[in-house]
Amino acid sequence: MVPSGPEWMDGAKRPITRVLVANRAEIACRVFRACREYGIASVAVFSDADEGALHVEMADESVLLEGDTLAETYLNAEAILAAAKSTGADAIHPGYGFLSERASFAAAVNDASLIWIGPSVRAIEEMGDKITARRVMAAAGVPIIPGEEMQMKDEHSEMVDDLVRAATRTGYPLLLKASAGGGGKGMRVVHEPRYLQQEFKAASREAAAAFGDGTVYVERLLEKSRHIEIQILSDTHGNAVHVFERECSIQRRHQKVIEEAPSPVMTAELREAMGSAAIAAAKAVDYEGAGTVEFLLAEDGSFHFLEMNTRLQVEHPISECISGLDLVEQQLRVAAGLPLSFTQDDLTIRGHAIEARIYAEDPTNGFLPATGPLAMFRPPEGPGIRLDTGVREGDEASIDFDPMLAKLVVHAADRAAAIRRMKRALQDFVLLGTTTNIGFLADVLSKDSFLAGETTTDFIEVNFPDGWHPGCLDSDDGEGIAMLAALAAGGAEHLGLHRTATAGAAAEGEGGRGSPYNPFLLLRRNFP
Amino acid sequence: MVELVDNNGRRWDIAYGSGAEVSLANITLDGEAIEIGEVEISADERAQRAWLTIDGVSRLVHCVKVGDNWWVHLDGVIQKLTVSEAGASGVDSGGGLTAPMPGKVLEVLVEEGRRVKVGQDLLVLEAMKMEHRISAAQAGLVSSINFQAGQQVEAGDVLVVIEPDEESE
Repeated sequence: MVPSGPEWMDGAKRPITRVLVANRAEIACRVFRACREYGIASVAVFSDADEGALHVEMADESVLLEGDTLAETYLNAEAILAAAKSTGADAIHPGYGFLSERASFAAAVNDASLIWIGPSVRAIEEMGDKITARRVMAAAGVPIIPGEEMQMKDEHSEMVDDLVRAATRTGYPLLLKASAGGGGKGMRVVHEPRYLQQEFKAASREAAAAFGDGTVYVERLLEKSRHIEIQILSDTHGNAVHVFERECSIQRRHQKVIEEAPSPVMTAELREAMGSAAIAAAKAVDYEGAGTVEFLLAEDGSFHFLEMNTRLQVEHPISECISGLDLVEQQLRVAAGLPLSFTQDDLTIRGHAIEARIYAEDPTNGFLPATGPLAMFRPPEGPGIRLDTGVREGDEASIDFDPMLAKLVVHAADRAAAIRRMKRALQDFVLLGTTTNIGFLADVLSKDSFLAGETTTDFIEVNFPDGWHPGCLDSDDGEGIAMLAALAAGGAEHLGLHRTATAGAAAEGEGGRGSPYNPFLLLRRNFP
Repeated sequence: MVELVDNNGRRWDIAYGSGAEVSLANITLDGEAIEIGEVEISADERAQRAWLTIDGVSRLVHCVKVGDNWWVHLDGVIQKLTVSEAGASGVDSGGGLTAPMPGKVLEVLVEEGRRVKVGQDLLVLEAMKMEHRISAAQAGLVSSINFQAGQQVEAGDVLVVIEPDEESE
């Protein structure tokens, strides 16, 4: 007998009752919330390093993946499938990263008679390989960027010659990208021929370490371009829509930090053209579910296919804000075999949304990842603010995983209002104990060029040519605000505030004067 | 008196009066006294919060101390100030290059006894699945390399020691 899912799933070919998320942190939490809202049970997997993590707490049940390395835990297909079997999960959501774009994992899920919440194995294979993806796109009439593929072989001289020739044909400046890659790993910009070999070696090595495939792609770097991607949704009945664009041009180390929707330069005609190209891309591989087609929009208004991500994107919340859709719900519906319940004409853009990625990293030092305790973690609140995170106060930014701590998302009536809201939200974010990029993000949003929508992929280099440091936009180089902080810190030290117990661990014992359980204390509290 | 170094390397000496009245006695920036109005500090009932009052205007401050660092959130800005013990020299004058984060040394690009230029890559560190090139902040002679390729390093470990050239002050 086929198990029946929640009521809204009536009539589905493959009802889903229990979802295992093969992921961690904020994206696992995101999926668990959707499961709860839509009446589906949830299962978390976790490694030792994630014991007691928020995503484990949020799921209905959880399974420990034993081992120390990622290969033994979050990348361990066998252990994850065993966890699904032992908990009775009937579907697997891969999130993003980890196994989300491994065709072999999708195939293994299908073979285990479980539902894969994602596109077909064939779609992942064809789009996952950048070279095949370009070929498929070219055949579907989608414009592509000039470039070619390079296998990392032993350091034979002929290999070097091949590389140099490929680079010369492509032209400088060029971009070296891991063919199997994403997330800025295995990606290098080469401005001059003399750095070609060194950067190729690094890119190939990173690619091999991160994706198990050292194949590198040589591609022309389009300067002054914008990164614009189209969210698409397809069902298993041949329907496909696009859920408008996201502009993700503000990047550091080739990783996105601020994304917005809609794009400040988009016109109805261009949106129509890019949307149609994205749908053509999806149809070319019989795409199922939520996916993203990334483009570079050149200064002259021409757009070029970059890659297709066959999974949910980190920045999906901004599309949800402006469309009113819940993309995870849509993924569940499509995976269950239900048709899309709307057409392209039903979708309209409502307002403007911005996402800022909060990273544990040091913007004064090349955005290198930072570690430390999240000693105080008080996210902003108020209308139009959404926070997707997998951490909470008391957690630690560790070296074990990606340094992204949270995604702060704002939604407002128009772009100017969304920028104001994001600035306010960033200012209200109290995150102490670890170096983060919060101050940097606030300064990006304060730039006139950002307000003017001059958001090209070189925004950070152009607008912060000497790098960034706290107070660098202030006329006094932050001296005034530093003085206030010094007065506060000096006072706190003088008062011995570091020696007083935190609210969660009152030293004076339960019911004592300093205890958080003392009801009389509450009477005198201020709530700023 | 509390000596603090801010995000941008400025040194603040802060002295509050003793006793129940916690008002500011004096403040100096890099040794220069600053004229400022009436300043008071008081703890909030909730942990890790204080009220800073300047000329009668109060603002709530969130502050947490981790190690020697005070992390402060006020007026919408997060800042880190490091408490420096009186008498200790604030700046690390040795030519030691420390690991910015824990990771693994992938490749060592220089040898002991070699002269390096400013910005020259010294070694490649892998951390958080990314490669990071560690380069020389000053010109000089590489007097020791403390790690080999393949070795794990902790944040703050001295990776390479460079004896600065005489002229590059």
